[in-house]
Amino acid sequence: MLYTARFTNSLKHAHLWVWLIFFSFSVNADGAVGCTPTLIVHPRGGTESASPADGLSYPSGTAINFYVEISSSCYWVIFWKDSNGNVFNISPNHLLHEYGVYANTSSRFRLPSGANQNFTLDNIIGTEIIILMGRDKPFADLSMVGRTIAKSSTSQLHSNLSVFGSQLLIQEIGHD
Amino acid sequence: MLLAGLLFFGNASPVQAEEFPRPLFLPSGTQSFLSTNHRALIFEWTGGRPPFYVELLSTDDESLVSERLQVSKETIECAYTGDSTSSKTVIFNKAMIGVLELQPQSIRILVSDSLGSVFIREMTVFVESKSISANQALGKLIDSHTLDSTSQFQYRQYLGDLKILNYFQKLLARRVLCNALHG
Repeated sequence: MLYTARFTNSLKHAHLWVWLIFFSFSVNADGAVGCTPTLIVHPRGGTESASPADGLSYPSGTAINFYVEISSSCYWVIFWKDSNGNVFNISPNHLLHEYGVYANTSSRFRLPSGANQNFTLDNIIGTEIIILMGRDKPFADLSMVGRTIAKSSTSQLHSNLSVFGSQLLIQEIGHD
Repeated sequence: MLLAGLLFFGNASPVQAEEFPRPLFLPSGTQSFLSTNHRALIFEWTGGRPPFYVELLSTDDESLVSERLQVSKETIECAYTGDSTSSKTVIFNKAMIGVLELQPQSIRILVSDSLGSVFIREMTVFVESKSISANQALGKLIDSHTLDSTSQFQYRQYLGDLKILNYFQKLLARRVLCNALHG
């Protein structure tokens, strides 16, 4: 419940613009086959939207879950950048290490991880950015990743985050 | 889930990502005020996983101070709300940044933890002719109704290092900190 409570306080937004930015490091510099995580947004009582998907806008009070699906061995991490520029690593806490979350087989992760927990949006209008990153190798410096996200505008994220992977695919989704 | 981490990474263990760093005296979504009188700044926050990286940036993002600081872990005894007979130990982090000379401008403080969670707060530095004593600052901070939230950080700076306060000032400062920690 702590998880939900924290987000109820800090990540409430009247109308959520969700920008889904998907990074796929399909082939690393050393030729290793990379992971391809996918993101699913699931508002409570609403319909799941799989990435890639159309832009999403939700009213205040909407409870949201994310699902991350991993199809192969992968290190992954997911961030939430709120409309004030704060960055939260919302990866499942019980699996998260300083090198990311490791999945060695096809897996599906619920966020927040608790069965009855959700992210709840409040009445602050703004743009939210959800960033899912995956790569074959452990992340070397998540602190640097977070700072890069914090300092980058939405349009800069693609180029600024490319240094953390050899191949990059970005998908932006936004609607009123 | 824990087992997977142990199997692949020896002694590594999962960490608590849900304890995001949260600053004290610096409300989100608004610019706080900061006087040019201060030659050193004290930042305090809860949560997050060390090591922390602290950056003080001017509005044009030129770094004023950029350090992987030795952040000290502090503890304080705070009474439970509505129960003066019991208390709990609350942990928070503190970093002191020496600033040679602050000029009137807008600056940003950015603190990241080792997992990439980051809080950002903006401050407007202004010239303040009068000096405020620790007692005056405590009086303002204790009564939150007389102090706008955007001025809390500025008044906190007038307290300086709490260790050098006298006994009664420390009592009041503890109440101020506990109120901020309860957030």
